[in-house]
Amino acid sequence: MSKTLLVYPEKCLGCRICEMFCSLSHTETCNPARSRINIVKMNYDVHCVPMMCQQCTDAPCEAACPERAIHRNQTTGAMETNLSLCIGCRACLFACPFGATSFDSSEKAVFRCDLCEGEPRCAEACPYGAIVYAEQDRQGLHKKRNAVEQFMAALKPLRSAAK
Amino acid sequence: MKDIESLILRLNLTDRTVTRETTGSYADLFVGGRAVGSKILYDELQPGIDPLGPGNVLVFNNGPLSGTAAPSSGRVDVSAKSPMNNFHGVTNFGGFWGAELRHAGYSHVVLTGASDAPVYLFIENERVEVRDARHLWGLDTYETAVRLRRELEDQDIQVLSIGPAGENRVRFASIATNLGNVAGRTGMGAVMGSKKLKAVAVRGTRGVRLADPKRFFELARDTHRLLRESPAFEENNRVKPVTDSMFNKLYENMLAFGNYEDGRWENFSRLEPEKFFTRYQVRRAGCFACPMQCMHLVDVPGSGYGIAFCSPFMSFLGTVWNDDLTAMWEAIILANKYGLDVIETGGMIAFLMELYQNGIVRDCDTDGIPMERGNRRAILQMIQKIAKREGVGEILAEGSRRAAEIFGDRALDALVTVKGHFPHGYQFTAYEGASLMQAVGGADPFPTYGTGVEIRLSMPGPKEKLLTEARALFGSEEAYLPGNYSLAKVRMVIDAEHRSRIPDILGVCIYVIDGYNKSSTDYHFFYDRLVDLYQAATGRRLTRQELFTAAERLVNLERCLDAREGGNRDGDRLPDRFFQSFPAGVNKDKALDMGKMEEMKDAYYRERGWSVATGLPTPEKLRDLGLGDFIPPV
Repeated sequence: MSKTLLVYPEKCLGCRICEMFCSLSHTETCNPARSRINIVKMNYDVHCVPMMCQQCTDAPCEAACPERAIHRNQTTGAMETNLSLCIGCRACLFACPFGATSFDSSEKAVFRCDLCEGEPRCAEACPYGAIVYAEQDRQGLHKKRNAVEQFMAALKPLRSAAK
Repeated sequence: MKDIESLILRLNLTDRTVTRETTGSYADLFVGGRAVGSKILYDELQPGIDPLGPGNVLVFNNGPLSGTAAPSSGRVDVSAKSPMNNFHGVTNFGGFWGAELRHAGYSHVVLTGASDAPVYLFIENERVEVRDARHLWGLDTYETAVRLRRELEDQDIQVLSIGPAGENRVRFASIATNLGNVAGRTGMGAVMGSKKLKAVAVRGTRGVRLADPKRFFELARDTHRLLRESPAFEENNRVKPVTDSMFNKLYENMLAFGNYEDGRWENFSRLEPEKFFTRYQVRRAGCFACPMQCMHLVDVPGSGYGIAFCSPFMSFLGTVWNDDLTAMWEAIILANKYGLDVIETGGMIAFLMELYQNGIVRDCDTDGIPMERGNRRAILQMIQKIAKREGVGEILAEGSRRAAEIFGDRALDALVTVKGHFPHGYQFTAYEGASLMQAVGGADPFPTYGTGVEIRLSMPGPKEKLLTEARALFGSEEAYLPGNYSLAKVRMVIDAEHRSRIPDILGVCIYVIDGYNKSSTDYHFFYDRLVDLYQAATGRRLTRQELFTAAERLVNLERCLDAREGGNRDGDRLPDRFFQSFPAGVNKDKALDMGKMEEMKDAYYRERGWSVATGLPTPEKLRDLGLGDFIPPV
């Protein structure tokens, strides 16, 4: 099993419910700055993209860590930091191409998405299906379906003609 | 004990002193949000001051649930003494500004005094700075947000600003966010402009701490789930929210056209909003932490992008006899960028159009602009003239009553205002509850929040659930049915006033609660949910009954605020036009009865424990509500 978080920015309406449930479950506060997922808004806030750890196959954070504190959780597939080994150097922050690792100034520790032990709160909380927890190899199929939905209108006349 | 208290931030713009206090001392009696804001106004506003002078106090109110995982926790109230009518002004807006303010650690921002030169306020957690805004003065609300985010080098900053209308103290100027969430009514933008405060830019990374985070998580998750499983959510998702309710379902039974001139307009029936949205809607939109996302984000090339909900649509369509949706959009964007309240501006233009139609004003009175019904150029030019106080705009910027006094007696006869405000475009002639709410309410009562049942019961569709509810809660079906002035309806109105204050007190959205309640069989269920969320968030005890009492206390407190400025029963008057029937439409045979409406007001004051003669709270009532200590008998 290799489920992960799949993101569909075209469905995101930017409400930030995901940030609230993520920070609440991980930090017991409602604080986007401590959320593992963030909605990045572009073009004067018109477009919204959920951003979180991609759980890279060849993870730069793991390679960058001088203390070998970052490892993949074999059950969930999440890249996890062993905080007892972590020295807080933030090399993983520099290495991450997505900015998905952040530093929590109140805890003095790095953090990133841990997939909530296989029950991601963000996916559960998203009302619009913009964040989905699913098999990694399904993303292409999901996206194809989304794309097809967008041009279904063009197919309708053909369907009725075939009746 | 964890520090979960949120702060009240005070800034005196005259000497730039900043102080902070916790909300704790207010919470027992006033709970939070708008109620705390009104208490602050009561304590700190000197009666009789000029609303556009340095003596006015402008308050931004988050509630105890603002910026949390509770559904729709992104709404903010703005209150001050209103330059429209000298009474207490309040208006509510959404988006992401309020949550950002709460994440910076603040529930309220209280602004007193006035700056000599243009400034803006930058709040970033503990850091509070009054900064030079001379380079921003004159920019529109969109440009201001873009400039500030660029200057402060943070795209996540939330900006609230006034446009040229607020700078020029147009009495119905608004305050707007970068996408067009607007604090529109009662002229709060003019108050901000009078303080020379161009914008409030906010960034918060401290977050909200909760008394019982685990329980709050469970409650918030369940509440979101309930909303997502409710028919209201499905309806919101399936159809385009504004299009369906405003253009199809409610139109004939609800909307009034022009300056309350008709109940039906053929051109409106022929509009094709679906085509407009299919072509120009970028996505649906809404506010922080809200599952409903009831607004539209629209981008029309040449006019611009932004979000809008139903009020601006009606204000620049039916109200001004405009049947061109792209002209409507251009007007909405223009009004939001200049920072004008769309409802008052639409009403003002409708008023001018009627006067023009009847020869009371002519081209020479309107700087040569032909104010023909629906004239696109006239609408757009008048928006700019008002915002810039240019030519006739100088007169109109003072509000419709002051303008009518200049245009003469026949203009005064055509004036449709309640306490100085143009009411929302509803067919008040057919709905007694909505009319009572409009008559006795302060600021902008927005009566259909409470009395939408009257409209729904006048349309085809299932009625049994509503009628059962009316019997159970108010003792009679008459409470919800239109066409009567019963005591049951008076009680329904009072309850509706309380229900419409509760979300403002807690910092959530009335539409979400209202939407859920429409499909729920348990009238009180959602309020119990809110009480649970409040307790888990604050650790304070609160019952549903106490929450409703807090709402009643707020209604009384705001009434006392108005009483200090001369408000009383005499001001609770409806325009003559509500007592005349419309020429057309499904409600064309209906009109309010003046005598019965007065009797209904008697019953309302009596039920409230107010004096029937003055329409003001009695000392006994104030004592019962715990307000006796600080409010002298009025």
